[in-house]
Amino acid sequence: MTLSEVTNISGEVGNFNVTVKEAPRYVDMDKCIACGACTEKCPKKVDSEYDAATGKRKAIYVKYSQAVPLKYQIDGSQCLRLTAMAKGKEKLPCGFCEQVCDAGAINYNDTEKTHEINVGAIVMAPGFEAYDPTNAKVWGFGVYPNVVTSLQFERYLSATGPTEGHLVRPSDGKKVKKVAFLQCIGSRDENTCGNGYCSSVCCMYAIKEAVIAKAHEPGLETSIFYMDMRTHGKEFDQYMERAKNDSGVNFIRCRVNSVEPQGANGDLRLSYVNNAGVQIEEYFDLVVLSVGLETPKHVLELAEMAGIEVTADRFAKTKDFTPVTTTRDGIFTAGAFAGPKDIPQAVVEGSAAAAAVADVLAPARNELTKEAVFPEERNIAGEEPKIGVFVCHCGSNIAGMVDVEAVEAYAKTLPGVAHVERNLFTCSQDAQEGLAVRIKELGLNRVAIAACTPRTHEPLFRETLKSAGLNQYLVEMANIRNHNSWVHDSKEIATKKACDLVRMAVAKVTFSASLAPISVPITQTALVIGGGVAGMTSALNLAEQGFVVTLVEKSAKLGGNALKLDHTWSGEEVAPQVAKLIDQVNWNEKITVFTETEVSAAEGFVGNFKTTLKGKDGVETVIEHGAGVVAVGADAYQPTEYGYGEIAGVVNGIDFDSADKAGKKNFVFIQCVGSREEGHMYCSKVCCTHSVQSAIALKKEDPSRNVYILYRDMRTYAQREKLYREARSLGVMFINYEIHGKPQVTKNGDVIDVQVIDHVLHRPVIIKADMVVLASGIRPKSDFKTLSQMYKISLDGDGFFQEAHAKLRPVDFATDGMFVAGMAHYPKPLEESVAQALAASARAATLLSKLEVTLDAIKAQVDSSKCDGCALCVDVCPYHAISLLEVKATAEGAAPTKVIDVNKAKCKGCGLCQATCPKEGVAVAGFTLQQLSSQVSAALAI
Amino acid sequence: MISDLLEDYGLDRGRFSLHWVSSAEPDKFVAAVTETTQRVKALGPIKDMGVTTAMEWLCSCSGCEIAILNIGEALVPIITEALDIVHSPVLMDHKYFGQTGEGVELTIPEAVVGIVTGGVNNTEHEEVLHEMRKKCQVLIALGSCATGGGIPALMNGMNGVETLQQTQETPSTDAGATIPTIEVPTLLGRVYACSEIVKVDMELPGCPPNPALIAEVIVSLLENRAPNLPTKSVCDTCPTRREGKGAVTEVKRFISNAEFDPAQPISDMRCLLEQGYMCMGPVTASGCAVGRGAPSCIAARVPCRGCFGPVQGKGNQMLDMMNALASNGIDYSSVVDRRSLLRFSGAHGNLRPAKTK
Amino acid sequence: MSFEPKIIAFCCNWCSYAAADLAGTARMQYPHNVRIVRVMCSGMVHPELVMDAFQQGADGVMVLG
Repeated sequence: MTLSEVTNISGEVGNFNVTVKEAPRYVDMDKCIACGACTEKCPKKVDSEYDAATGKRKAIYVKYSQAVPLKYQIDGSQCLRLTAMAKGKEKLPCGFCEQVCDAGAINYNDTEKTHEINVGAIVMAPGFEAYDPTNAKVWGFGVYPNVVTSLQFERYLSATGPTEGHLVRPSDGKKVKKVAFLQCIGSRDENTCGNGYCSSVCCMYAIKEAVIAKAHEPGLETSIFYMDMRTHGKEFDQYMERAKNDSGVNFIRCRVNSVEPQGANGDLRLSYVNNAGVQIEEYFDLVVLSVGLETPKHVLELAEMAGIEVTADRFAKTKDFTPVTTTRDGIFTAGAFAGPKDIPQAVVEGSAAAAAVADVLAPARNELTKEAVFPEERNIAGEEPKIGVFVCHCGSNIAGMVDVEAVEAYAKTLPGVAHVERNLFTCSQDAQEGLAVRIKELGLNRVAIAACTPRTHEPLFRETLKSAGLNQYLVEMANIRNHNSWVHDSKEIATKKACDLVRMAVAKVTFSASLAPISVPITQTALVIGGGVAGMTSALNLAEQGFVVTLVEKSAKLGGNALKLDHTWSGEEVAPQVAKLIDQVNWNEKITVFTETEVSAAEGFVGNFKTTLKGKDGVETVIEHGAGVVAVGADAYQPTEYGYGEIAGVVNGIDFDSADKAGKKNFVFIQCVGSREEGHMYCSKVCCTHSVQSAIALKKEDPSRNVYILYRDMRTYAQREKLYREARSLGVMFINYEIHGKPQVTKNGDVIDVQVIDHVLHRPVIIKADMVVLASGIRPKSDFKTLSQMYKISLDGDGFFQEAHAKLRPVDFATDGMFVAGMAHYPKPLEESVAQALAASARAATLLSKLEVTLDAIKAQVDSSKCDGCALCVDVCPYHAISLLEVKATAEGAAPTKVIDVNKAKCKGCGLCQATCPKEGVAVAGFTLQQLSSQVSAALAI
Repeated sequence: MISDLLEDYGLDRGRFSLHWVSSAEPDKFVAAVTETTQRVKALGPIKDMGVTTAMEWLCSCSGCEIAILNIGEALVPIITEALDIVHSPVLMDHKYFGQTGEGVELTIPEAVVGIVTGGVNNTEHEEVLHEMRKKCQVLIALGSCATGGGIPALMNGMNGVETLQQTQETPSTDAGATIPTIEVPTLLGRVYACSEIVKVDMELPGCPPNPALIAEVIVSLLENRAPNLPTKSVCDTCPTRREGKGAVTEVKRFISNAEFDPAQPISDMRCLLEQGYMCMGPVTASGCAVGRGAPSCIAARVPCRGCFGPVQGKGNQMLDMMNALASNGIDYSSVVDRRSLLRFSGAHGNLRPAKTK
Repeated sequence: MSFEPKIIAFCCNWCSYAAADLAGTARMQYPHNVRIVRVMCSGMVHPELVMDAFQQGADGVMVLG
């Protein structure tokens, strides 16, 4: 449901009644084919929201070209006709869109509708709004045209943006030579906007924009003005180092307080203190404001209406052990509404919310699903090709540029073609029914559709074939719209090309064969490796959803790293929560726990893994499971620097929690010990917050204590910023150091001397400390490698487990059926581990809830009459789907032969094997060498 | 790799291009298409792309005939009872233009089976081959020269004029030597496989062909059944141990010995390609192993040289091998003189004058 | 008449084929000489296909991943 908003929620968990108000679209979604003719004709131009007002859109529009659903809508507040109708005028203007719409999709009389929906649980993921700096004057946004927000800049960099990717100044179109990025606009700023929190994502996106801008315009100078660079995400620090060293982006640690115009030609002047402490004035062509994230007002109203609490920073309130659960039972949350965050974490929370919902709704699973029934499939093996060609006009989209009658006449002359017809819209309901009738009536055994792109419409035609009792893979599409009528302006050429494309499609479909669906049975159980908070959370959620789970823990006790933690960042006590979790796991009858046990061997594939567990006593147990979650945690770095282990009083952060601090007055924390340096170029993410928390506790216990934190960038990201503020207000001293000027720690009698270059004084200072606390980082465990080899799941450059896609598949492995959660993936605080664990169980549950997975039949097939087991393709396969089999000799005395075997569950149909094989021994069904080659021949036939 | 190989085929490398275009980059797509179209337009139409059908005749070293003799004792009943040999220049004196030279047209007696060895290099070969086709009901191309051009087809890698100049007029030849023009059949400019000139009913490659298979072909014809010939590659018949090609980064020439224990059988030796040697097994038709238990070169612990030509007769040994190496992450440029991989299959247009850089 | 080359473009279903679709949606004009063959991955294109295309008279070949 689009253009819809929730206006009321009543009831309770398991039985909510939700009132949804659906605004009129004025375009019939079933009829609109997104041809865009209406937009072309529409006379009314307005600022485009998508282009952040850098460009224009029409009153009838789609928000952006990849929008889903790709259906147009009319902006009722801007449309000439609709505004006139609203005023009750008799003579109505315009109406162009209705005139040009061949599909008849425009409906000016569309009205607002109200829907009542009964649901068991609710997920609130309304997202964020970018901070609007217009009213804050100081940066000149809205006053000087060359001050833009980062979102606008993003549009300027885009090929589909207002300047087609060319970097020019909005004021005079002059080529941009110097860009300044100002960080923390609308973040970490209580004075201007009341947003005290850190928006978490701006540092990283500013670097990205700077790097991309430099790639667009060679010689471009880019400077980023910041307070702390918070690139705490996976592989972000490496990106920043590359931006500094390879791309040459300047980083200047200074918060610039205002932007001034320089002369009348649009140049902008910034005053700042550079890294050496010198006051500088510099001119820029363009200033980009890295705007933060905030919860929009209407979302706050929604939250109030839904009866859920928000934090002081105006984000949904959650608990650290239940990071996607709001304060109202049955309502969950995900994404930036639950605190500012980047895409991977938002995706993780999306899955986590699904897991939390599944937990609540487990008893009702599958109650409302319906299965479609199709007629029995006709066997066409051995039949001569009888191809039906259907040429679509697509209104005037195709017919306007292509002589469709000529294409029809031409198609009739092609070999194997038994029937040709034209449709105004081949995808329309009645044309589909007609197509099914033709197939049955004429006994067609293959179909070629000359219309638009198979990427959007092939599934539809496959369904039609199925409903006509024909195998769904016997259809081929000729894309005579997107690839032809829309991109050429000569009717003669477009018609000729359309004929060529039809000939190619016919040639390919001639060699198409019925393909049987591939299904793989699923063992509906899971294995969770690692008994820390992530592992236990994941196991428990899966068990609550009804799946049998085996939980393996290497040590003698469940709990993992959390056993060493006192509090989460928000102050929740860890120990009682972990104890509760252990208890729940132990008492859950669906979970079998193996302690002092390790994985010793593994084999199999999605839905069908077989893992051998080996206990301390050497006893082996084989577990069959359909999915696996790797939640093996990570290790704390044991420092070798700063006198650790040599000087009494030098301790690491975890030891410090339980150390005796009585009578001690002076404390120094050193950050980034073993993190963000050569060989370990990543942020351990938790140490800044932990040190600040410890510092606050020290000060609260005895305000006369002197507490120093020596840091490189304080990374108290998102709502943790309030801890940083609190620490400063309590008088904790923060001293910045650089990697090339690390502090020096020496023993000096009873005290410890810590020497550091003060970033304000620019000279070394010596702090006499009673205790030095090393915020040591997090390291991958030594046994990650063995595990990665056993399950064929890869590790990243830092040695942590590598997810399938950094942004969009953050808990999946490239190996189907295996998932990752917690610190095994990357250092992270407890609530992020919990969210990822829930996400992993949600992803596993989508797999385990089925008895079998049905796979697309587009998979590699071995031709055993041609394959001779030369094994050239085995290592080529990126999915490890190919193995070499020995075939026993048929004749007596003959030697055994070898042949490859493709595991269909692992194969993704990429065809690398096909391209490697020298003898056509393996081919991807539906894209065989014969089919592709026939298309090539057909393309070149005339 | 493809661009390099294109030059091997006398094509401009600019005719092929690879682009990375993500789904959100229609501008890049349009730019790539526009740019490629302009580039290809500038290069103009491809000239002389097709295999020109010029012709030539049996260019052979008689090794295949020796292979026939190597059938051994089994040959005796074949030639004494089963076959009546009516025409065989290598065995008996039989004149093309009548025994006294009275004829005006080249004539070969009619026969049921015809066996042709050697490729087609000059107008005489061509004429004889046409006559063979005319007179024989079943025509068999025997040996890699007849099926794929063989060693003589290496000259296809140069143009005809160069070849002649190199063999006849270089400083190493006697002073004053000239290219003979009288009483010598004219060269066709390149060596053709028999099937490029006439329809061939059966092909049996090998340099030399395997005697056991020659016997099988003859016997199957006599028994009026399809011959039982191998259809797969040398690897199919190769007993060596295969563990994956992943570790190999480049291939080396066979100037050092492979690793193996002489006391152990071949099946104990690791695949030679996996040992990093340029073994052509994967792209070469099998046949040499029949009756021997292992491919003949492999049995001698030496990598396959590719003498049976491409698998199924229609592949391209160089292209397939390069592709197989490249796909496995093996540096294809580590192959010294890759065009020599067509040493047994240069006909069918596989080997052509290279585009000089 | 000017020379109009025939160019075969192998396009990956997930990337460049989608980009070509989008080029259509955006009505971006480009030369008509290209004929697109859809593949599931540009890695699927066997060199034989490329050579084959030239053999059959193509003037240029593109692989777009």
